[in-house]
Amino acid sequence: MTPQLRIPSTARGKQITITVNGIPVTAHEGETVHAALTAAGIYLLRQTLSGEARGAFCGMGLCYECLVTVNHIPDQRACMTVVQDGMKIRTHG
Amino acid sequence: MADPYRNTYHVAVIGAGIGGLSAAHTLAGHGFNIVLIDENPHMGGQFLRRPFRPHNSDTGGTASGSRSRLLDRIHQDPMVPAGTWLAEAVTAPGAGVDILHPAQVLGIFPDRRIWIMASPTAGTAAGQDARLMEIKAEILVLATGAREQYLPFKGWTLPGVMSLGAAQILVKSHQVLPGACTAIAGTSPLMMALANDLLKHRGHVAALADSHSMRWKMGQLPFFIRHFPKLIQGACYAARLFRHRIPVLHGHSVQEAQGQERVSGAVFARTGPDGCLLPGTDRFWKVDSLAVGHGFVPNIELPVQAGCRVTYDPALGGWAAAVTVNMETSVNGIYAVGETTGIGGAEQSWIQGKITGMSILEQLGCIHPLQSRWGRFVKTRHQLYHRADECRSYGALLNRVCRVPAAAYGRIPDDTVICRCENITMQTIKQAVQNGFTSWSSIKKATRCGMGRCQARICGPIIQKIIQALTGTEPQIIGPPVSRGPVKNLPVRLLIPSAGNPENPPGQEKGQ
Ligand SMILES: Cc1cc2nc3c(=O)[nH]c(=O)nc-3n(C[C@H](O)[C@H](O)[C@H](O)COP(=O)(O)OP(=O)(O)OC[C@H]3O[C@@H](n4cnc5c(N)ncnc54)[C@H](O)[C@@H]3O)c2cc1C
Ligand code: FES
Repeated sequence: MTPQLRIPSTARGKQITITVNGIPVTAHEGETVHAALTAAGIYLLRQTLSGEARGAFCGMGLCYECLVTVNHIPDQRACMTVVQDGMKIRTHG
Repeated sequence: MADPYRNTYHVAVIGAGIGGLSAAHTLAGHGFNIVLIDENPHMGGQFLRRPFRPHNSDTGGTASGSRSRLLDRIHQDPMVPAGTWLAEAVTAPGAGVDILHPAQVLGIFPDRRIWIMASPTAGTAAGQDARLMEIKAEILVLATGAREQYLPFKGWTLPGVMSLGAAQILVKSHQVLPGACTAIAGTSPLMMALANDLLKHRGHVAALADSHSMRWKMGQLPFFIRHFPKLIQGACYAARLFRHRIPVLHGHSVQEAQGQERVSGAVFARTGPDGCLLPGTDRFWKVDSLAVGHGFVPNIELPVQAGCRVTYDPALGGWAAAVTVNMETSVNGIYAVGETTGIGGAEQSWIQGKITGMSILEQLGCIHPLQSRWGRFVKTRHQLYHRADECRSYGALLNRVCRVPAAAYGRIPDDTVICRCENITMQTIKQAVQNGFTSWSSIKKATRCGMGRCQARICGPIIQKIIQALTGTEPQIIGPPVSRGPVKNLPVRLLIPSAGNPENPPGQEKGQ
């Protein structure tokens, strides 16, 4: 089971739902895709050409390690994209 | 759709960290058109990491259950409330500053034309409705801040291994723990700050490994006497770690991060004075996340691309935009402010922002020697110069504390990945260096390092240090990382619209 990584009892944005590889995942308005994926225990975001696992590294838009597909647009930085209700994320793990 | 933004401005400020905000604030209210551009979905740069505070909050609770409010109050950085006030003042509807974010500046061209990618509704600069635009400004202020740097180790590419900044952003901005059990390693003061943030929010810190020995750190203490508040802050951080019985391994570095598809353990080993890992001293910690960082480097890709002169000084954190006391760069009409000009903390960015704003007001003829307020203006500016110098001295100290012994970069094991984007290992870099490729541009051509998506933002400082450690070549000879527009990735679909129909997604890589 995924451990509870969301810190309890803090002010958050409204609860919304996004889908990650077709599976519904809870997120909150204002948070980044990176935060929502981390809270859901999803760290593996893509693979290199040689099959190595990669996930978010810098968290601030510099390294481009966190690339995922957002609403069919490929290569979006998870750490620099704010979630929106109904957003469709695809990871490439 | 009507374009909400003008395409000419008196002043364009790039970067909405403390530096950019402070410059924009000083300039606001004088009748100029000002635009503040940032690619981050949240304003405030790397310092102001505030939780999202919506009007229609779901839970409405207050910020987290901290058990030691007193400690928090003692060590709260006065720049946090000051910066929050600044951000609110600049973004207030009547402030007279147009805010363009999330929007990425891709390049700066002659006559201060700024090439921008913005996406009005997608929540990221390169989203669904991304478009390219051009803004022309009479005066440009570059406030692009700094980033972290790293000493690579085996397994640092595994998911779950992240920068200290990434972990800090998760906790402070999003109230999400980076993992159920986190280890922290490196040489940066951010390590203690992160450990505190985690503990404050009932996160679990497995251990904190600091490459510097206790003895070395004690030797640095006298230099901090001048910066007393920082000492108090450090002592409060240490007290919390002690109270929670967190193992602090002085003189230890990460030897390896283990795991398959995600980090599952970290191995720390004792570090010798020259940065080598001592055999037989390794200790394993079971963790599901590992945060690492070895200090900071200025973000200079925009200044370099714009043709501004950069200088190398370890006291500034490496290559930094060269500026006059009034924060002017070598290019007419372009100013640089904040950590782009050298690492120095949030207060430095604040002070430099004010100096920049005042210099621009002078340049635009808002204040001149015939006015009665000229005397006060000059006096204030002199006080600011003095304070800026103090901040620089703190910055120099900070950079010294973060520094990893040069030899450590020469000893990175051969199979360790150095350039994460192109998957280039230490062995390849070493071979190229041995074959005489010892300048930044030649090693790039020989190995492809730094040519991937990150454009050497992560591997650039590392490769420079490897060359330095292996050959003794001075950084001035190795040269600063080359930077051309677009400085960040530009999706092909924006250049060739037919390539980007979202209904028919092109599954291929979009590079430069
Ligand atoms: C990871 C990290 C954590 C830090 N944590 C602390 C801390 O806890 N306490 C502390 O005192 N100091 C901290 N610092 C130091 C901190 O950076 C400075 O104190 C202060 O934030 C510097 O302000 P600045 O305005 O110079 O730059 P920044 O705050 O870094 O702001 C630069 C801004 O420019 C934007 N930008 C850069 N390039 C572009 C582009 N091409 N297009 C559009 N926008 C762009 C960035 O998105 C960013 O918002 C941290 C630094 C880093 C890197
Ligand atoms: S984690 Fe580095 S760009 Fe997103």
